[in-house]
Amino acid sequence: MLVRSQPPRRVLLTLLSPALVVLALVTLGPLLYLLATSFTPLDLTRPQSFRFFGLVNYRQLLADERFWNSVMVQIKLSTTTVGGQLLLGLGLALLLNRPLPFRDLIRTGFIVPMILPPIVVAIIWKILFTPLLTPLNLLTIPLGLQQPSWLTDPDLALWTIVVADVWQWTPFTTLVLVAALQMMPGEPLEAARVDGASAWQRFVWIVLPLLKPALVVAGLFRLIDSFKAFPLIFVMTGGGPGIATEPTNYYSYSQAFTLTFIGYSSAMIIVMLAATAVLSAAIIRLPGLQPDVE
Amino acid sequence: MTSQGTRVTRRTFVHVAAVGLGSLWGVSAARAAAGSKRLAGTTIRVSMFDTAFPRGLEKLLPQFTEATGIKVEFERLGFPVFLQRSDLELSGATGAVDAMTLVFAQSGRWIGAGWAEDLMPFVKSSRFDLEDLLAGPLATMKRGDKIYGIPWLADSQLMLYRKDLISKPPDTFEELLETAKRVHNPAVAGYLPAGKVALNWIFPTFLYGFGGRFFANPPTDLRPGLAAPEAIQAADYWAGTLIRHYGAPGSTNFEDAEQIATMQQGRAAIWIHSLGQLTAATDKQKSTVADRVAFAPPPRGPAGRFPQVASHGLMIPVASKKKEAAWEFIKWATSQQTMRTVALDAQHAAVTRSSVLNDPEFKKKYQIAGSDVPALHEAALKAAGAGYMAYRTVPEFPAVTERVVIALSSIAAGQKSARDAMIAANSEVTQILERGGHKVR
Amino acid sequence: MSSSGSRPRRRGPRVDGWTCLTLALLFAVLSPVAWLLMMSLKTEVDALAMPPRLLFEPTLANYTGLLEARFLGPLTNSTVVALTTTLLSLGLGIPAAYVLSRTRGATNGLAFWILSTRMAPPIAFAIPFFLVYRTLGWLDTLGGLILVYLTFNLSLVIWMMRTFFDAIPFSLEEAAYIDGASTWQALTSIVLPLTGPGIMASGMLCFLLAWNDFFYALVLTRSQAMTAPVAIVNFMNYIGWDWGRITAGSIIVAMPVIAFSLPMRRYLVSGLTAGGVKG
Repeated sequence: MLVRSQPPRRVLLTLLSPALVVLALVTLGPLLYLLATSFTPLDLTRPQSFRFFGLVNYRQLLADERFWNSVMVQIKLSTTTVGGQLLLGLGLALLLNRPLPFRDLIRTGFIVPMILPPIVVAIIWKILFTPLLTPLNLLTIPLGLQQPSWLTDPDLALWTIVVADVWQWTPFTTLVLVAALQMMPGEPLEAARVDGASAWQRFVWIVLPLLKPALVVAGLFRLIDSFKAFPLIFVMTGGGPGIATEPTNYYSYSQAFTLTFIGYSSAMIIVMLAATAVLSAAIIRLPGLQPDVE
Repeated sequence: MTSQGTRVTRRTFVHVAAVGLGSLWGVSAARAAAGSKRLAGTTIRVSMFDTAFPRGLEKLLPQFTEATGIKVEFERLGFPVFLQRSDLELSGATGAVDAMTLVFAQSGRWIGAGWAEDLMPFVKSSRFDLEDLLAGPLATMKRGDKIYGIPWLADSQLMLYRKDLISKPPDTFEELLETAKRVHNPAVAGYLPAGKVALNWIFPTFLYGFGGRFFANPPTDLRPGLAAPEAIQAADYWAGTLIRHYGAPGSTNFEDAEQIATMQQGRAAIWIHSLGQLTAATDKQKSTVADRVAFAPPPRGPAGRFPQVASHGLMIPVASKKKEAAWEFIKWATSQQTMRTVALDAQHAAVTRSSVLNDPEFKKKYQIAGSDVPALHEAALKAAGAGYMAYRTVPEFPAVTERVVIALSSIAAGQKSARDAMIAANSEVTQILERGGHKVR
Repeated sequence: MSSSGSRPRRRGPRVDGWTCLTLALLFAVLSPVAWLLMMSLKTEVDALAMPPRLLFEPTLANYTGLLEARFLGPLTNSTVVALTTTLLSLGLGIPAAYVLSRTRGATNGLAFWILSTRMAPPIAFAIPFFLVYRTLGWLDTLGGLILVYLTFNLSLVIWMMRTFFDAIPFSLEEAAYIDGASTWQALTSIVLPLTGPGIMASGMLCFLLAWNDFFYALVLTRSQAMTAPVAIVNFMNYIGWDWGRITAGSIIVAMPVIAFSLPMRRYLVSGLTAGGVKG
């Protein structure tokens, strides 16, 4: 590019820096502060507790059974919800890719769960899983079935969260996959059809491989987002019964904001951030995101 | 012109007159302000957790506003949410709340953190009657000659049982287990545990009854005793056997409302809880078994009988900007008239003023189902004078009790043996105490 | 099952077994929302009726009850905070996005760092913000919330707008610069008008994310700056939850986002992945 036909560097910097400064202020600063508090036993009931005491919090984390339970819960939650969203999303995407009447309207209907405020989603499912209020009674009463107490049963509680989460976020994977389907080249499929391949064969050997990048991208984004799950657990189970539905995010919240164990909670979050960073690095390295391809 | 000796100039005269009139005016103004609406127009926010007394208070609020001109934004929250919001408020020191419930289990922590305002100056300047308040509950809110809360609830632990199913209430732990086993059937559970919020409130009765203890000798020696054989035995008896086999299904996760409903609908035979909650079962309007229940002291174990007592009070957060008005509220809410009115109108027997406790109408009202509830209540409060409740004032107690509740839940659900759960809890509790800076190994 | 590619469709829309399945699924997916709406219009007796009633006499009492419950305040707070944070994010983010777009090779690292800030769970920021606000007295203030929301909205705008700017060939501005136009002129009179839809989409997404936030509001506000989602949860605080008000409040909080998001659903996925994936 010719020097004269480009904005001068100084101007570019002026346009860029306010945003950068603000961003650094609100993200880098806090994260450094968090790192600092993770090395202290900071407890807001004891003001003098902001003192450095090394890696004690981290060592205690390793020995904390409740922490490991929360990691297990997180893993269970993340794998089942992301898996469910990908499977259902794929099925829905295939359905929505067909020539449907009022296709646009129907697609719009399907994304409603994703755009609802998460707290509203949580309330909806709290109602649906409360035996006193749920329309499920319309089925169980005539059949004479006794509903379990979904949200307080140690074996069922986690599944209620999974159901609600999958309902909420499947539209996301659906949209990604629909877009991917629409961008797929038609020739390989046409050739396969001419060659006599069945619909199923066409799907497994042509469509799926071509969808793989989209599946991976959608899956990774949902995976990272799944660490942030909060309203569902807050409203539906409160981490209970006991700690059966307490993922790491929620555990750190209760330590920090119900018991004011800020130091310990910070350490836990740093560990979570490390895990998130590893996953994020994976996303950034994905081919679909490289600038030139865009 | 007068002589030199008595020079009363016009200036002097005016000066003296002004002073004289001014002081007269000042006196009358002060007199007017003292009795009435000095703080009129202020609005304060009061936050309490939902139970009988705040409900009664809420109904009487218009009277308070009339008398003082202070408007009250009153918030009555469910207990777990109240705890969480209050903690956030106190640690954040936003001044959004002017008066709030001082929760017993948190009192060590909140007072220790310096989050509660010392009320002694207010008490002295308004000559508030502290003598009439019961000594035990008051003591938990005092630190030396400072007082951080005024108690309105002195709750004791009692046992409620269905006298149509049980002729003689069980007195020992063995009898309790036998009785629960005998009456337990799908329609009526033998025993109703206290729900997730109160698991930590009932367990101590059994822990201490078997000879166990939370800490070796609070507040100085905080070595946890949860892995001791007595503690394991208590957990195994209460959570592992009584609740697990004869408890109402799902009840370890009940909120207060669900527990009360269960008892009111006659679906449990025995319920050990605080007086304030138990009286809901005698509510003639909502309870189907109101006339079929009776009260008894909680059972005793090999080491004795240890009914737990709790006292909640009203406190002023240090960050409040309207402390004077908040004090007016507290003064009114805990006054003899208000307490008596609420006790007589609502189901609030756990009062903190001996004048109310000995009031003939109060005594008459709370002869419930043939049991002299006030007498039982007083006996429990006296017993606690022995000091076994000291564990509750340890600042880390809320965090400690959280772990214990998790352990008990898993024992009651059959997920863990009492031994494993308690030993694990003990080591976690040790960690918590160490994080708090105590030497416990 | 077939998929349509870039070739023209051979068949028009038709109603077949698959269509019926799709419609049935749609019904299943939307019925929980319908149930919420129904509950908001029921009296308490109807709401708790067993077996549940599908036919009932609707009432607006729950909605008017919201006014008594001082729901208007939190609703206003939500609106003010969402609008302000959107404007701030757009104002700061659009110029930055332009620079990042036009300096591609040099600033990739920076761009990816900006993207990565969106990956952290909110609690990572909530704790330090809580501590600092506590010291500064900024807890329970609208300004405090607005600042916190910049943690996710600013990077959102930058990433989305960068994609939109990328789609506009530099030749247009180049011509203007050669003619002697200043950067500001080129930006405002040539580039921005062409990215109108992009700005709309980014703005609406900002608004949506700020409006929907629950966690930050829960932790950083108390009574003055409380936003609508937290206010709804407050109705759950009384023993014997006030389902009428909870559901009515939920419907009210949900309406604006549905109204806004549906027109721009095309950009939803792109926005939710911070421009990482084209929706």
